[in-house]
Amino acid sequence: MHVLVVEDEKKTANFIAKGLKEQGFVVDVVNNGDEGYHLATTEPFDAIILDIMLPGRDGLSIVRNLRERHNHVPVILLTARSELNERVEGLNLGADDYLTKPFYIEELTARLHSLIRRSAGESSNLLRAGDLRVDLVTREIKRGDREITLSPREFSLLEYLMRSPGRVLTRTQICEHVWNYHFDPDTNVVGVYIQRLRAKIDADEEVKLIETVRGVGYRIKEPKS
Amino acid sequence: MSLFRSFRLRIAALTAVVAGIVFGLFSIVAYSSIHNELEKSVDTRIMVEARSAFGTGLMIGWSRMTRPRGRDEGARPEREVSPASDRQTGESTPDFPRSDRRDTIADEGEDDSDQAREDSQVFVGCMFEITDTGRNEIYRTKNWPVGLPALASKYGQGKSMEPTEINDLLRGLRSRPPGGAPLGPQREPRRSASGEEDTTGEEANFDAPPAPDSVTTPNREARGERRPGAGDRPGTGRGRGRWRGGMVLTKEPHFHYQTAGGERWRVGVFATDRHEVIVAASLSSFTENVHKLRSAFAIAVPSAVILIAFGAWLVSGQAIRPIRRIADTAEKVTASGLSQRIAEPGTGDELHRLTVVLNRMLDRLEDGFKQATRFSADASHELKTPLTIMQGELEAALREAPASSPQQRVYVSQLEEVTRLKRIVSSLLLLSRADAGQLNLTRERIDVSSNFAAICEDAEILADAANITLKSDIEPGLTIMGDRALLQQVFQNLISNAVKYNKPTGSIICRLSRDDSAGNAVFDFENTGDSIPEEDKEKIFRRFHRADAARGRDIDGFGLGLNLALEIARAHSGTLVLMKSDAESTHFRLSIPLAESL
Repeated sequence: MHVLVVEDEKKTANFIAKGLKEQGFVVDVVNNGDEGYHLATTEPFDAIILDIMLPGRDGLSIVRNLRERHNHVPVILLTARSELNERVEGLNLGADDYLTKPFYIEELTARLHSLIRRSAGESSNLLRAGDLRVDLVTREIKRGDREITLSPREFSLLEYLMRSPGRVLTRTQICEHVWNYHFDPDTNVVGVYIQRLRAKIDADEEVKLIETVRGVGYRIKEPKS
Repeated sequence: MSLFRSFRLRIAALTAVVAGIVFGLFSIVAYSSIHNELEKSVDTRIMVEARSAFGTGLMIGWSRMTRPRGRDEGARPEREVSPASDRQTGESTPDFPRSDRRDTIADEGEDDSDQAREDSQVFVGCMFEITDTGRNEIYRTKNWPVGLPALASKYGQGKSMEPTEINDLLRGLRSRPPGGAPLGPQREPRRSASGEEDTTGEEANFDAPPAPDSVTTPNREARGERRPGAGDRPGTGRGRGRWRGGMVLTKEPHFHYQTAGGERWRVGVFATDRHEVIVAASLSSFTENVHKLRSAFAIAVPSAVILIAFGAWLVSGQAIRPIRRIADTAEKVTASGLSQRIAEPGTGDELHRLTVVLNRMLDRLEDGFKQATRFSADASHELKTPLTIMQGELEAALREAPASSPQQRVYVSQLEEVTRLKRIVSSLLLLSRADAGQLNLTRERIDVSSNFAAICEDAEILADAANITLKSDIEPGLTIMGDRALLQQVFQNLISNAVKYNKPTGSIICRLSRDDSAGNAVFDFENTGDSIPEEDKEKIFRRFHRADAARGRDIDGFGLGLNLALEIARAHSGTLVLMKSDAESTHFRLSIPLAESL
């Protein structure tokens, strides 16, 4: 999948590009708005990640112009401010999502995935890890033939883990994504939920999918393909 | 005393006091001068009576000389032995001269009118007591009060006479010229016209009709008769020339008060060379007037003071109305930000100036405040860029490092610190917005019951881990219009505080209920644990305050949580208060208006 990153702050652009590439995205990075707009109109991207404050054309006007030209490529706005009107204006202009800096790259990729899935249709609504299947639309979970029922919070924890199979997610990252950041990072809500999840998913199974990376966090073992 | 916290009441009271003093002094002065006037009028009356009784002579030797008026020269004394009506004493009537007519004329006034006055009213109001210088005989108007004057009492009762008799007696007296010497033999017994003789020795002093050499004329007229007309005037230019009839006072008359017979009397003492005439006027009507006056003052002064105080109250109400407006605006400034301005009255007076000055001050305050909040907004904004980079790079490094390697742990802990920093920055940004009154809420309808239940569920996990039991009691179906993320932050903050500051094996109660009277959703958070010290109860809502500094970083957080929670509650028109904190439990209550009550 081809993603355009328009971000004037080079270091930020770099770690975004790096993180996305690791997830298998093809990434183009430009550092100013005019160039970004030019590329966005000339090449077909699967998604655009757009900083709002840019030299040249700013992010909001790029979105507006793209939508005026009936270009409906999914756009995620990045903003350093969380000013309400900026967010609202961005979404009104046709942006699909926004992220406030600073953000975790995992959060960005998770959102990117869900955006692309939405725009691409149903095909990618299914997440798999080994014999575990998660249908994001029907919210059905199956381990082999066994149906599993999860609470909403357990579901979103599992979904988050399965978005990045094989990658370690720290408790802080999980906390921010699933619990919307506000518990203190060193509380063990995450640990407790992981245990619950394990009890439902890995109990009595030979292959334990949810793995603890000692001192770091948790991950889903990559499905053997 | 709290009554006098009101400026208006103080002004009214002060005015009343001042008015009371002024009126009090005024009434004392007025009272005393009126009293004096009344007293003088009594004296004047006595004087008038005395003058008509004594004739012109009263004036001679006392205050002024007679006017050189030809026709007044010399009275025609008529002597008649007074028929002392009182015979109880058995004394012979002293030879009080009697005159059946009043032939000494007061300087002013017509003879006729004088006489008329004498006829009609002499002695009506006054009582007379007449005694000779030796005080051998005393004649008194009847009903003369016992013991008046005190001096006379040693002579017994004296003789009581009808006013007309007294009148006659006086008439006789004044027809005798003053001074013994020129009058001839003093001790010559007089023979009265009524045929009574004066044989007593005491008569000496009264004797006398002196037959002033030139002036003596026999009594030509019967007693009681009046001789009108000037034709009967005494001859002029004869005899001593200076005596024109009447009694001559040898001392200045003196007046004093005396009480007798249950009444107050004004007593005038007139002394001639031979007699002492005491005129007493009852003060009963005078006293009555004074009483009336006094009660008039007693009514008028307090009611004037009350009226004035009321007026002052009204006027000061008018006067402080602009001040009240200023106070109202200042209240609004406190409540809703520095953009409020006081309407200038445009009168150009002191209050106008005060308003202008206050507004200018508010301008400057607002400027400074805006600058400060803009600064903290800008600063936290600027901090976000490096944070974004740090976090992103750390994240990348974390992924690249070998699983569970020491590097990875370092990255994790750094990432946690970055996260902490990130939260501080965003909290500061929120607070600076709240300070600037720009904490914009993305309001939506929230089912707080289920929202709160979910958070309590999470909290139960937190609590379990700390060996704390958490009970929740949530009334279902409550909705509020609010910012989901911010409210969640408040709930989480309060619950995690309840866990953090709890004791081992303690408990927490989370309650959501509906307060119908105020239309609020009420969230209660009660936990066991150490109580908050009294002196800290105010401070805990301040920024960067920790309930117990000594705990240090054992307990995580950065001291903005409660302050932020308070600001968020306020932005939702709600409140956050510490209900109590004692050894038993610490209880916070958050109230947010329900959606239906908005």
